[in-house]
Amino acid sequence: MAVSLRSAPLDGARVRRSDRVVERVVDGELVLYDTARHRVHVMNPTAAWIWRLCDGGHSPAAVVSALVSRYSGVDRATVEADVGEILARFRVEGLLDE
Amino acid sequence: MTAPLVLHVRLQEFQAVVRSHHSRVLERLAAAYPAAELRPADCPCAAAPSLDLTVGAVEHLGDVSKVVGHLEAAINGAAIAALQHRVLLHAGVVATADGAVVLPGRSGLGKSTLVAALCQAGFAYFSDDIAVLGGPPPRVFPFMKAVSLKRGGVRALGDRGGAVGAFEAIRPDGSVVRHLTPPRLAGSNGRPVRYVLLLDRRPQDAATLRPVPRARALAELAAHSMNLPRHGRHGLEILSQVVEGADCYELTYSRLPEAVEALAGVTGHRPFVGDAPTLCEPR
Repeated sequence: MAVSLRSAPLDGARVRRSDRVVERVVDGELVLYDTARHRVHVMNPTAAWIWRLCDGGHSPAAVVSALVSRYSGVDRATVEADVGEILARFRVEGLLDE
Repeated sequence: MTAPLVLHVRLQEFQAVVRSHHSRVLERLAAAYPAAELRPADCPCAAAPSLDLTVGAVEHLGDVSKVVGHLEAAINGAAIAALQHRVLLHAGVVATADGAVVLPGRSGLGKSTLVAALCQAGFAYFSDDIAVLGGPPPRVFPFMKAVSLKRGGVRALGDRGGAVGAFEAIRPDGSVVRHLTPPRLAGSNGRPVRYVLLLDRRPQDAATLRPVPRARALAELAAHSMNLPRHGRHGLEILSQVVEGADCYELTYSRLPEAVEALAGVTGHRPFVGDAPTLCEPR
């Protein structure tokens, strides 16, 4: 079944990391281990940064705003698309609490 | 029929005894465990075994090859079950004087054949397909069963496979393996992991060794773990410490001699000084 990774709404509820995901930083790279699905994910810097904001205190829109503030000069629409895709992937992989 | 014998097998904390009047079965089975000891049935043993098997009349059990293959599978399976307090990986392990080389990989990737070739080239043998990790500090322990080679592996070893036993064991899954006891065994002590080597066999490719990020090596170790969900955060911590203390490479190869040469080059190929295997202590 094809899964659209651009379907995550940015006006949704606050996003929170699942408790079943174990994190480890190795040589500056964030590695996530999903203890329930026995899957490992190596985050790129953008995904890692977004992951850190999935603390239950940020909505997807707030994540976008934070990212736009961090990287001056980036196009908000591009950031929205990237954040939407990454959050959708987090959800598909079961890394977020629903 | 002969006088009853007992084969003692030790794989780290796990101990198995196999009793039989059929010395032929036990001798063949002993070839699957380099540190196994065949003793008279009344030989004392200090600790109660984790697994106690008695082999009945073989003529009613079928071919000796199948009996040995099934016994080996039972012992290895029970040992893996008994070692769940350790983090276990599908990985071959050899060692140099500097530490261990861990080669994670799925079954059928050629780990056993490469491990056999490395051991024939002077590396010390820890395991051909199961890495037993403990710590902290992180260490890998031997899982001292013989290298199990399928026919393709024996062919690939060529002249280097001269010490491969002629006996063929038939496993419960129908696969046929021959056993090789490498010339240099690691003993029973753990060693720090000095290298993590990701294997990528590609036909026709010359052997190349290139560094990989430790995060990727960690992901590969985790993906090839047998019981990481059981250990959770602690398990990931151990694997992380392993890669943080190791140089991590990807080895792309098609021909064994080139792979061995590449590995010998990167590890410096310093001779390993192993400790003596320890078995069941006399009472």
